[in-house]
Amino acid sequence: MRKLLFLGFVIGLEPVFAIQPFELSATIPLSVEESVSPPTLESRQKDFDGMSWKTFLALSWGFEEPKQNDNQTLWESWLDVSQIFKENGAPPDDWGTPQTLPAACQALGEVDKNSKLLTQIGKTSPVISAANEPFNSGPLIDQNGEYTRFSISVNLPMYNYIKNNELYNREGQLAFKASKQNINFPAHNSATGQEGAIMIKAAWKILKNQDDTKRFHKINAYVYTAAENGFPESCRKETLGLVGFHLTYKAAGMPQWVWATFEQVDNVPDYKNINKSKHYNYFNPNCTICEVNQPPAKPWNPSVHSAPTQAVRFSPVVSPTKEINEYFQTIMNGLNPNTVWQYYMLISSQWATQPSDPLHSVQPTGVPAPQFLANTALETYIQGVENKGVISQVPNVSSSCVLCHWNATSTAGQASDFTYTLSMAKSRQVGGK
Amino acid sequence: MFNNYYSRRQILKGSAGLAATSLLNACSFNILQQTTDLTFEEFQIISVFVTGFDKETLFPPLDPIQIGKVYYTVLMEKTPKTTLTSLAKAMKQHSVEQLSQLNDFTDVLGNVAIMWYLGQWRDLNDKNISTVISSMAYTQGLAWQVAQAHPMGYSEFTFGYWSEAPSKYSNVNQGVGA
Repeated sequence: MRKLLFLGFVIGLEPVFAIQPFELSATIPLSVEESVSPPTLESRQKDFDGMSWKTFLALSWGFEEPKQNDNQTLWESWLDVSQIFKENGAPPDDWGTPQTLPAACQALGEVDKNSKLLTQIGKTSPVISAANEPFNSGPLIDQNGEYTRFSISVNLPMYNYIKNNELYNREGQLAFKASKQNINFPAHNSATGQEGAIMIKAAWKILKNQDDTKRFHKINAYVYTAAENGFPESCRKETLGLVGFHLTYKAAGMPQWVWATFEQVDNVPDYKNINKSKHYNYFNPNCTICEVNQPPAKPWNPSVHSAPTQAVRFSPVVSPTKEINEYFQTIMNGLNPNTVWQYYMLISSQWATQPSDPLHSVQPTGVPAPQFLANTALETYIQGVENKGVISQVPNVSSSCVLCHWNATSTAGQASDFTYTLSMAKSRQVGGK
Repeated sequence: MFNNYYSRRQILKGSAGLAATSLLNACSFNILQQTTDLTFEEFQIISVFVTGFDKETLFPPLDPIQIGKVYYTVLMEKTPKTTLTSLAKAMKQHSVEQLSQLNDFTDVLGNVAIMWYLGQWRDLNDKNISTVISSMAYTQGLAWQVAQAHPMGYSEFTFGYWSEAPSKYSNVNQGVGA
């Protein structure tokens, strides 16, 4: 068990919600604390935001050596979905197995087993995947002209559920449906201390000269581009920085899961609050003709430098969440003024205000709050619609984690408990897709 | 599939509220009190009566949508001031059930029911004209929940729900079958 660091003594820091003294802990919180009774919408939002931050840090912070500026995270050791849903419907890799590199990456020389494999944007898919933004809405290109890459991984309880129920291939999913069982991933259990399912979707940018690398959590990775649309296959080794982070956890009593999303603080400006002198990852303050939040024109070729996306945040982070961000960022800075984790912020946590069994409820999405939630590095183009300076959002069109993921199914057409990963399953049949 | 739907009793109660608002009564309302605005609390009382749903369902304590506040705002903006004033005064002296039997408030109470069930505002001058209040109101109509259906373009049902028999209605508040 990794050590706990008690951090309730940060001088001058006002508590913004009832978790004083805060413990930076490697233990994942299993249920959300209720700081106000009876709870209000605002107090409950703070409770969930606090739980999201604690979960994020439990999975990301370098507990073994808290004075190091950056560290390998726990979630990076989890299995990537490409290792679970394999091309031939074969059983998943054993837990802890490194990713298998494509030949193009192996050809680069001695294989670096500590480097992650990141696929790229050209392999478009009709469903949400590691290779694209949702609904194939377009790639995200940073100010260096480089395509953003994505990765999806799951924790051990979720991996075990998929493996034990043979949900990793199409035949297994059909059999599961025929058995009349519902897909229901394990939830955190605060009574037994059992950790439930957690999903991570991360967005990465290739770090270049303009980028301040001290402000990013970094990995070394093989950036792989499959051959498609006449563009050749390629692979290169790069250092990438974490820019977006979806954290989805099935907290105790939350069948609709809890959907938290974090960003690197330099990603984009708020739509109506642009700092002209700041360097953003996905926004050029000096561009007067750039249309905001518009996907690039096709064809998309990640192997060549492309016109950057001009991205902004349509819905600013609300004040209570900003306060919680400052709270945690200050704590981290107090521990280590150079830690990269102080440069991340929670955008919000989406949670069900009326949690219920989604398969037997009149409101299966549990009336989520907030109603809409988007990460500018992961849902850049579905944040909402701007018209004459007014931003509007539409149900089932603008980004909402719960509403969107409730539509997820297995390849057998069965509701897949809010995850699209099961739709990646292939057939065991020779040549099966 | 869905065990916590609304009871027939609940629906009939709502229908009775609706029907009552459309019953014409010859007597006119006697204005006795001073001019006041219709409060949100009074709007809540009206809403519970005309829909047949309880307050907890219409106005949940943790309510990110707050569609009731939207409907209240629309009612206050779209209804002639004189009508609202009369209704506010009347609410101080009579139950909604009594008011629903008066000609004076048939249209406005009916409109409250229409907002809740259909997410629309019916023009008080031309009942053939209705407008959807907002994209959110479009999805929140109680009619969809009662009918176990969904508006075009928006659904929270699972893929393939149409292949399963609809469930029996049950009481959403008590969790028991009707």
